Amino acid sequence: MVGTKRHRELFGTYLLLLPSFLIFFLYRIIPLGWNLLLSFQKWQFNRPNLWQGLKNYIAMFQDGVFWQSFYNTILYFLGGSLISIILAIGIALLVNRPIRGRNVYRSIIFMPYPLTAIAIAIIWRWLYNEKVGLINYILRMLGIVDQGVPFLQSFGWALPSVIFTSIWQIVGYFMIIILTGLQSIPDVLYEAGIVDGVSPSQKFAYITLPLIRSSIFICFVVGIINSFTMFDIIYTMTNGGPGNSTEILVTYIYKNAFTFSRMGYASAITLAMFIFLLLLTWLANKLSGGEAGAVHYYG
Amino acid sequence: MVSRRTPKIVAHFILFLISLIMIVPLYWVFKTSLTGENLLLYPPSLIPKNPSIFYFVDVYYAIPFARFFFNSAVVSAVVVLFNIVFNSMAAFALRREFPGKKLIILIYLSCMMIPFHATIIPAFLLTKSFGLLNSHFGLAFPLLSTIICIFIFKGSFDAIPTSLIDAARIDGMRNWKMIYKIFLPLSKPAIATNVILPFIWSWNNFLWPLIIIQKQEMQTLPLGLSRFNSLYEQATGPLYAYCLMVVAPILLIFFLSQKNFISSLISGAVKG
Amino acid sequence: MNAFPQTSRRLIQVLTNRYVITVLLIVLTIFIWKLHVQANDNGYIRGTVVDENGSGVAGATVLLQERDLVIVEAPTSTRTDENGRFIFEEMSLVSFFIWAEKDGYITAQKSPYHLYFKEQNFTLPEPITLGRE
Repeated sequence: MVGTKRHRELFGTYLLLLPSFLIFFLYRIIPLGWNLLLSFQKWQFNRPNLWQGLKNYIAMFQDGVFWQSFYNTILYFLGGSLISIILAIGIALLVNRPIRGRNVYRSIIFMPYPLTAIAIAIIWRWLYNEKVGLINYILRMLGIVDQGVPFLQSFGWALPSVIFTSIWQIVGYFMIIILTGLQSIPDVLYEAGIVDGVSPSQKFAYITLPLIRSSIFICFVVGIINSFTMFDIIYTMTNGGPGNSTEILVTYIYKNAFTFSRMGYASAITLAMFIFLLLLTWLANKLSGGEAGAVHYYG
Repeated sequence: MVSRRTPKIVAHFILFLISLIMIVPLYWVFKTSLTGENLLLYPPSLIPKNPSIFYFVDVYYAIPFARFFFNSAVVSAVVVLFNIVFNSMAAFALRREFPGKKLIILIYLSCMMIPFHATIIPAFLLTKSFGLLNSHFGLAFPLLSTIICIFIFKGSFDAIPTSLIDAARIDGMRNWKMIYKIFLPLSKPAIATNVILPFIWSWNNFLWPLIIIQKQEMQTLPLGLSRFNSLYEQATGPLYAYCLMVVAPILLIFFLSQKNFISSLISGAVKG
Repeated sequence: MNAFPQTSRRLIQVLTNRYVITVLLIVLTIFIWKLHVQANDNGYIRGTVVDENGSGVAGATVLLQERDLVIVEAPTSTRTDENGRFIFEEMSLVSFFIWAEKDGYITAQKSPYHLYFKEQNFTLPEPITLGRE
């Protein structure tokens, strides 16, 4: 009796897990393996695939565009996420204070985050426009430049411009994450600091900063994933930019797979990107002092 | 609160400036969609002169807006519904002890590290072999369940006392009824998160529709916006109107439920 | 008996919910708009052609050209009656140019108009003026 009842319960449990597990199995786990398999092949439509061995990988390491995309992705992370985190910490500290209307500020600064990336990309594309863009208009009005700066068309400006848009979108999100972390710091610690006579900068460095380590780590991870997956914005704003200057790994993968139909090669790049992502995350974890920067969190 | 070097006025000033930077682009879009002005010809004005909704009308007919909206809405609705169902089921199951539980949790956690963008090629081939290209369900399929949302439900479910479950079991309640009648009603915030997060992800989804939709009439709103952008690049008025029409639902939900909205998006990150 | 005030209280609770109100408002707006469109969608466009003195010009050719974001269509035309009035029927467009011409008169300028929905009934707010040559 007990045996069959346990069996039934077990079966029921597995049944409950089945749908979600199926989705992940089909669309996360299998693709990893499939990518690996594909990366060793040369994809031909209507013909069986050729086995290439490591040819795709060799080609990848020799591909200048691949390294450019790799480099750009790192730049996105360093330029975009790091600056965003620093800005977000500053803003969060300001919003955390008991000033009137801080919820309004909080909502307004957060607002760009959930908006559709395509819409944001189009909006900013027009803001950056050389002739009719608002930014150039203001620059011209202030007399800083004579003619419009071709932000998205010049090799030097394209990447920073796209990074700025990305910062614009994500800083509100980081701000909220850090704000949550700030608000969980017990006041008692600050009061102890006052008793000990610490200066404001010491207070920040020794009390605040370590205790929001966990939030900063979260921002790091989100930032890493964001810079790897910024497909929408780049595709719409520059599509790789003047000569690959804004190309990141994802957009290059997309081009190879669906425009050039080199699916085998694209799979190789995908795997490289994935490994790189894991490495960066592991590095971020190490830098936050391990354990995902966890502090005495109430959980 | 402990006072800092910077007085309140300075804090207000900085925050105001930053809020301005956040709002100006959005206000600009709003204004241009009403007046379609061209900075090359006229200096910009703060308030829209001669506002009209004609650009919105143009966009409505130039693309089949109703159709695209319908596509996006259907896919999002399906995604939200299945997410709630599947995720609550999984979270409920994870509450028990059973052989292989640690393994399953490990697998789920590691799936979180695999971003969607690393799976696009096989996902495309898979969906193609299912014959689900150009279909609503094909669009929804990869998003029907997300690990983050499962753990959000789990957090909420774990807080429900075991005594409640035992009492229900004694009454002979089956699993499904238990989830529906006990767990879900007690987890309203988790449900809200499970509605908001999947909705935003599916409404804003661009890469996946770009990959699997080739038929004009099955496009979703963001995909349509992108195609519109490449066709009608010069027409700012209609383009901006389209942008507004795409983000309007999200803005609406945002204004209606700010606190819930923000906390949902945060728990999405924190649980990860 | 006891359930009655409870259900009505719950009903009020549901109705004053933010989300429900928003959804209802949206549905209501769409419904009213659809009614308005239904009542006004015969698709005619009419107006008058006058000369400089304001009297109707009979027998003038009125041309209507549909404006699209991309395509430029060929114009359709019709004639004015003895009072200078004209009407285009069964039109299904949203944005157009309209002008008139007649022998012995200067062809009028193309005037742009924009409707709110296709097949909207539209009467030109001011008459098309033809100046004498």
